[in-house]
Amino acid sequence: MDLLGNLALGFSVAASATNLGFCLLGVFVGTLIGVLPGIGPVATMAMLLPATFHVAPVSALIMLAGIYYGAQYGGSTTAILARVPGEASSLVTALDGYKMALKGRAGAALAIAAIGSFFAGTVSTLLVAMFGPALSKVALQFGPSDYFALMVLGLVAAIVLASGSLLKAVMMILVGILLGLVGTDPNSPLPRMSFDVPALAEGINFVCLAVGLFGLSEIIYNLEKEIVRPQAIPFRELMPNREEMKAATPAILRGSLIGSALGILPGSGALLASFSAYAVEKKISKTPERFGEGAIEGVAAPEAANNAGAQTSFIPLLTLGVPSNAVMAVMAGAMAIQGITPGPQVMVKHAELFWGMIASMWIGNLMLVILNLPLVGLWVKLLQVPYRLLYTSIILFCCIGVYSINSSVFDVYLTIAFGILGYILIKLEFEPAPLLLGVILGPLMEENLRRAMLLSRGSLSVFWERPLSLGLLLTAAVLLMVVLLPSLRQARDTLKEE
Amino acid sequence: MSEPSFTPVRPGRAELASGLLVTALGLLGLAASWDLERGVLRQMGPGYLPATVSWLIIAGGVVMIATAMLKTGKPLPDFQFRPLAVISAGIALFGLTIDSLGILAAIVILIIVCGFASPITRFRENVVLAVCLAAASALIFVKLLGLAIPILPR
Repeated sequence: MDLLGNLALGFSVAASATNLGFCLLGVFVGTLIGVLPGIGPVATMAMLLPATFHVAPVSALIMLAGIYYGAQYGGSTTAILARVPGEASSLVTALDGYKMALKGRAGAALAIAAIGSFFAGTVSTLLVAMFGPALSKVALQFGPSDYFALMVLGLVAAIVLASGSLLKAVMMILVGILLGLVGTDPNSPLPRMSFDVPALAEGINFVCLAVGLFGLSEIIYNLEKEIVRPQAIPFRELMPNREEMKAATPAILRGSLIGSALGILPGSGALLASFSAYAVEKKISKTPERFGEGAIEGVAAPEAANNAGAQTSFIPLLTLGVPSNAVMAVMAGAMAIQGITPGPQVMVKHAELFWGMIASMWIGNLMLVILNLPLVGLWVKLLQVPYRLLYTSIILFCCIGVYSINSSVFDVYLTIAFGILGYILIKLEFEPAPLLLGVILGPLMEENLRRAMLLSRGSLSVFWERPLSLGLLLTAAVLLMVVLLPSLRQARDTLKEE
Repeated sequence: MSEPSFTPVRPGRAELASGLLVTALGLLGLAASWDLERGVLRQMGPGYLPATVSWLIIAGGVVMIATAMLKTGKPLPDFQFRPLAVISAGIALFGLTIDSLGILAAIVILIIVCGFASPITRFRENVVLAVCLAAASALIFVKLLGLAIPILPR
């Protein structure tokens, strides 16, 4: 099938009434949590996982994806109007966006952010549609050792891009792999590492883990800090003027490309994309001193980039079966729950699922523009909901979500345990995202390693005799060395600080 | 985004605690996989990877402890036990009560208890919130979505 045929199939799936509804629900919830600080897309998606059990796989994935890119939009609204980045990826937008708002150009900044995001969403949807099939064709040639090498590369990249201590990130991945291995071993019917707890015999419930580590721990951590209620700047007109459009257009183009490229890399997603796009704009600008003082390019480029990056980060998951960040790990979890193994087979066996989801992203982006610009007043009002009402409600949703999976009280207790662990990890400056990747990749790595070793009769030489495995492992090694070199480490740290 | 200032101490307590935590997690993994058959590289048993990964974690933890002992570093972070303990207790009570007392009572208990996690909560307002959320949840999750949770005490 050609590109147009595929897209037509996708749109026919995504435009069904049910799927449009789920898409709208997803982007609505996404915008909501994007606006609200203190709860991120990972926790929300994890909380809603149980709700997706009873819907068709494609609808479930459309909704979950909508939450992710919807959150990118919502985050920018509060970043501009109240200098509160709802999501980490809109941190840089707050720099120039809020300054523009102070100068009375809030409407223009919001409009440019929305237009830029929509344009970037269109570009990256097309990119996914064009490169997805090609990549999955490559991936179908992969043997077990190649897969193992690919996952090692993915994890190394996640380490390299994680902030903070490298050793801590490595430890988080290993702990994640260990947690992922709990439960039934694929080659024998006996449960392992379950401490004879029947509820652990089939593995640690992914929802409990994600909700505990990303939801509860965040709430507990937030309660320690004093939360100042942000004040939003009022504004009237919503149209950028001609000069602003002229300055923003090339920035949106560049941001879309940078975002799309960086989104594909493992471990990064939207965050790195927006930071890099901002840095590039500042560097090539003839008037870099305007940045930080309300430069429209400083809003346009990172907003385009974070949306593009959010979308292209689906490519590694859908084509190679390797989630590249914590959000994609949750998507992989959702697919697993639906009985779908992420990977190159998705496009062959579930063509309607793959293309339906791609098409829904474009539709979702369109909905977001409509949802965001006229409804911006509503989102701003939501900012005024005090945290004391919010946090108990979020805890309630966590509890009901977790309990409803199996009507299991044990799952509720397990979530508490992960919440406490998550809180301690945050306080000790461990990043929980690599852990989640490890949980998803652990069992896959084990399966492929065992298969590879069985085929090679226990000889590790497969890893250098197969050019693909060797290439992937060498890339991983180079990446690791690069990050260990002191000079480059410094550059990496300064990039993070900016 | 500047780091809060701190007086470096030796050993770096935060690093030391991190190392101890990691080592403990590794030991837990090792204990869990102790009885499992390891097998050999060609024919890996169920315990091969779990044990290997556990040893790697322990090794990493030991390195962290050693570095913490040798270098100066951050002091232990300021753990606040009130939110941690109160929210854990609230959710545990939810777990204890949901099967026997039903969704309405369990939610009211959960929200009122969790309200004590922070001084920002206003008690009366929180009681109203608890009742409203309990009623709404019973309606949405049990009546509309059909979750098998009793509404009232059995």
